[in-house]
Amino acid sequence: MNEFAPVILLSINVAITAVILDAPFAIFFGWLLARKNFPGKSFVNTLLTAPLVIPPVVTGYFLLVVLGRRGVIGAWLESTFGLTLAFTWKAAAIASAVIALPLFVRAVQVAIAGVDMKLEDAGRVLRQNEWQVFRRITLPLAWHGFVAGALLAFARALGEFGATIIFAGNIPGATQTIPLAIFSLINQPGGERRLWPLLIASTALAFAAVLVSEWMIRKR
Amino acid sequence: MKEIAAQFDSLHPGNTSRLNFAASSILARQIEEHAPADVFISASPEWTAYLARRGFVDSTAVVVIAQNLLVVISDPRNQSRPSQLDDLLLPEYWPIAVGDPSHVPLGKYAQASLMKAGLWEKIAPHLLPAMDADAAVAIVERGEAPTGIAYHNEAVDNPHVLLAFEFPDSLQPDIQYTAAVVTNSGNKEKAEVFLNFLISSEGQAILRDHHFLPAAYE
Repeated sequence: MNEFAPVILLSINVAITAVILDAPFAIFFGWLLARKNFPGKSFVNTLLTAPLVIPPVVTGYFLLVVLGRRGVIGAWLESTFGLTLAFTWKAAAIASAVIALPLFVRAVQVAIAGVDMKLEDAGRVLRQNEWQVFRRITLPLAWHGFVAGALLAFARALGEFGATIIFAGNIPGATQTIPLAIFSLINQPGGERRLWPLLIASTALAFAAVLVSEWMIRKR
Repeated sequence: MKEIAAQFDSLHPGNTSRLNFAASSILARQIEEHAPADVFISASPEWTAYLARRGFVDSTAVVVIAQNLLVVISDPRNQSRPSQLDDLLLPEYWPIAVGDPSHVPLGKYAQASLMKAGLWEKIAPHLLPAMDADAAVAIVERGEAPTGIAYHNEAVDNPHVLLAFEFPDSLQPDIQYTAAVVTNSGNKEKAEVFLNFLISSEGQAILRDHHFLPAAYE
């Protein structure tokens, strides 16, 4: 096994966890933005897009302030459940999830917007409730978009660096994902010579995820 | 450094020192890429040696400008605080914030000392490696880690952390800050004057004000 196998496995675990954390939010908000009009819609839209444009270190700092051991929610989690998030692999997954969410929401939103509303109306005529319409008509027809969004989010989560190093740190075996391991190696004299397996792994994983995601979008 | 540069400029009218702060590793790479630098000052003897080996700094004129000590700091909001290295084996003091031992000089010094003390194997799994020495202190300040390993000067200067104890003398590594003239410098003579200023009584007084140990400390 290559010396970096644990780093690569950890990265995949963190990215998959991030996608799982994101999925319910992405599906709900993607549907909401595609199908509903409500006051404050642009605000919700902006909030969901924000992690894409806010510098990731800033997002990481917000997460640390809120979910850190002395943070508003973090202190409560620790005293109530004995749960520490900051500087654990869970923090790496949360940071990646927040950063990747906008891509996921956007893909779901576009996919749902592409479903013919007449088909949904047909379901309503057949006395299906909103949930049944979503589950039996919208979801199956927008399925490819969901998978495409999940893959894009996975690829983005794999590359997360800025929010992760602030909120989760760079702890070998716990939070040192591929980008953080690359960062550490670049900072070591002679470390560049050992970089190539990580460069290949990160490029190949990201490329594969985006490629499959493209296929999924075209399949529609 | 800012104070030293300002003092130097006021003694040498017409001179404007420009400072570029970054991790030794990043500065070393900039110099390798022929960044227009005159003097390289580093907390990391390893990177100074790296540049000297490749001829980017003058290896015959590397001077020690200051020294430092390793200390253990703790979060003042916590009731208990460690008083000796063995205390760091107690779970209440975990995680222990320190510069990442894989590349941050503070972490490397800490690793060497803890190995010497025979504690490294037991303490290493409970370390919280930070990006640099400042980041390790910041983690303790924020309460994310109850204790940390830090440089003496940073612990003394910081009201938000407690200096719990110093590493014992027998385990103190030689923490030396070095300065060297960059080979490609366009102002070599002035760079040497600056180096001499750093080790002059005036330069040393400024460093002492910031709780660094003098270059000549044994």
